[in-house]
Amino acid sequence: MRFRRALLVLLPLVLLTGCWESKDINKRALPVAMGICKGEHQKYRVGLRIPEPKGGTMQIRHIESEAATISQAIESMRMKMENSIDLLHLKLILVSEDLAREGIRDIIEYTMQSSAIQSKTLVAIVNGELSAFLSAPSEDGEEAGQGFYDFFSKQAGWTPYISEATIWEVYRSLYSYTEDIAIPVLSKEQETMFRFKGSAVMYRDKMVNLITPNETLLYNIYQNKYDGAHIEVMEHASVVVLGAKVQKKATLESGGPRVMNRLKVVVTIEEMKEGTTMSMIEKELKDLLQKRFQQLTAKLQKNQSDILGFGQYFRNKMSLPELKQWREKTYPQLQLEEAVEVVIRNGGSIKTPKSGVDRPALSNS
Amino acid sequence: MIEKTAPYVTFLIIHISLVFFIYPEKIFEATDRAHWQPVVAGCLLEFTMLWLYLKALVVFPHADIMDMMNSVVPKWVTRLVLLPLVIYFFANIILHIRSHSEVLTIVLTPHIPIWALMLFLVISLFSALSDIQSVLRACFVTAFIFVPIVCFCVLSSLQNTKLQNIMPLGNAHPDFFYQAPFYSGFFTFSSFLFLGIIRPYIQLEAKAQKYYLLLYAGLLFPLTLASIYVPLLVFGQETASKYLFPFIEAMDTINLFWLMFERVTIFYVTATLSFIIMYTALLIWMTAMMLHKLYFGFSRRGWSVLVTLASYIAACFIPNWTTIEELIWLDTGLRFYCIAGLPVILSIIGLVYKRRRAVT
Repeated sequence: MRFRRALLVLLPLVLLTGCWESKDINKRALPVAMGICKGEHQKYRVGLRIPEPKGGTMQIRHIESEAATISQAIESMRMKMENSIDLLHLKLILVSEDLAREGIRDIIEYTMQSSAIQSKTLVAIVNGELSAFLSAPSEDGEEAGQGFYDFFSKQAGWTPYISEATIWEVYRSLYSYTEDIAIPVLSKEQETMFRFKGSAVMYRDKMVNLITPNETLLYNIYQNKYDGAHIEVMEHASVVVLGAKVQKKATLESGGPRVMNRLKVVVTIEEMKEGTTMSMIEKELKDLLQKRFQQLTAKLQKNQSDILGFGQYFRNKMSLPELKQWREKTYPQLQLEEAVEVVIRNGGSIKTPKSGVDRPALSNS
Repeated sequence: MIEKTAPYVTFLIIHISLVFFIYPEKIFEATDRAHWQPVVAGCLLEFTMLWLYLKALVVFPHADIMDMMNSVVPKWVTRLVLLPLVIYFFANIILHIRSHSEVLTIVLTPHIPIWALMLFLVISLFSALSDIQSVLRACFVTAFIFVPIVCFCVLSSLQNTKLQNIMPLGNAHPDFFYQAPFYSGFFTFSSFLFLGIIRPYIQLEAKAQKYYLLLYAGLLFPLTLASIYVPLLVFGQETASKYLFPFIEAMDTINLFWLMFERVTIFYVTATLSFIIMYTALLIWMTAMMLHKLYFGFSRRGWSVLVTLASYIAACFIPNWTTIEELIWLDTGLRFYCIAGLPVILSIIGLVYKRRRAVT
């Protein structure tokens, strides 16, 4: 009996070692970013950015390979690397703009299918030479190549003007009948890692247009991704927008599909010119936001891309075959309205007059 | 305390272990709208059968279903009627270990060979070799450790949901009844059968019956709905139907910056795997017990080892995921006999027994 028990105690030593085909961490290459663009000879050129610690500092290694598919390119990179490439910690996938305009279905399908790449890896489109991004020396303060990730992280460098897209979100919009996605577009900057240029408007898997950071802000508000604060500069004043929420109401009547949007923004006043009143600021902000909304939606409807997700609100109003043709048939005819409600929470440290009329003098009352 | 709650907890975790893996995919295959309909249909059937089963079991205070049948019908009838159940349990062991080790290779460890992963059966066997009380206690301990983790995972997967994806909610022509995957999905709904075999060791008076039914309606039914609606709300019908494991994919989208681990999925898969290990232990115990009592008097422990070996070898012969799905489909007739047929037969036996007792 005692012998049997001893055996039982020893058994986990064999069973629970957990060292099946283990590869030590220093024998692994852990890329943080993958770049994909058109190759010169083959369909894809794939590059990896691998941070490597050397003597207390982080050095960036950049390797590239060309192949007909992405997995093949990675495989051929494995053949020239002394370490084993492990894609599990990949943070960002960069796709060149010309490739994005032709369609990124293959790329997204591959990254989604591969169990080595996490589905919450970010996707971005770059304009310009890809290797410049991947081989850029690591910036000061960047930890282990995290810089790519921090740019989009709400806990770090993200601003409401920046859109973000993960693999699974892009994959979802490939198949969704009623929603598209905007993917951030980056370009290389001299001083820093990159600059956010705007967002690529996707129509299914193809990039069809580019919207500005200002329009991206609206996209974030409409997708409920607005967080934090940004500054709006107008003719007479600058305000800090503290919160923005939108309520959408969709109707499908004989007049055609309609969505009524109620946008509520909460602001405080940052600076203003002399003689400006609250109502002037309210009106200016309203006009600004409405104009932006109209410009953006006109552009989007022309491109048949529903990145603001209006189609989602018709899911219970139309049949599935009708929803299938949402982008092409119904969406271009969609009537959109936006009502803006501005709440000026306070005027900062200085009092702001409510309207143009001066306060009546005491003697008059 | 533990002795009393352990059966309820076991009932809970063996349901949880099954509902999040194969079930969502089957439902997404069966229908493309109003997913609550097939879920409610399935849960309603299990709930009714559970109710019937409990009613029948309580007639015999200290007998499992084998003794129950023996006391009313000749032994060969018992053998015949319960043979499908033995086969079904045995098939379940094979399918559980094979499908879950496949899940492990997809989610966690792509390089470890299947035969090595399936060795977790040894843990189940070790548990099954001891008596049923210790199996139930082990279930309790596993649940105590892992249920909070599962709850955390399910709750945090609500992070990326979009409410509009729930639409369309209505479906005037429920055509899922004609879809094979709908019936394969009943794989999940057979877990309540274990109560009949461990009957002599648990309390089943009116209060306990109420607890089981409440547990099912109040906790397991919402969880079954969640297994469909979490991926649906995250991805929408069009995309969710593309995944092999929609719920696990939905969990992969969780992004918690304050959590020091990158993937919540790993915790979830480990937690449910531990539930599966316990369920398999229970299945081995039950199969061995039935074989021992009904067919050949060979010792229960010997049978446990034999059953484990046989299922391990059989599972090694399953080459791929398609075969697993085919087998789950082949199982359907057997499954419906066990889920719907057995409780009815047992209720009849219970009635006959009561009448005879009243006469004498």
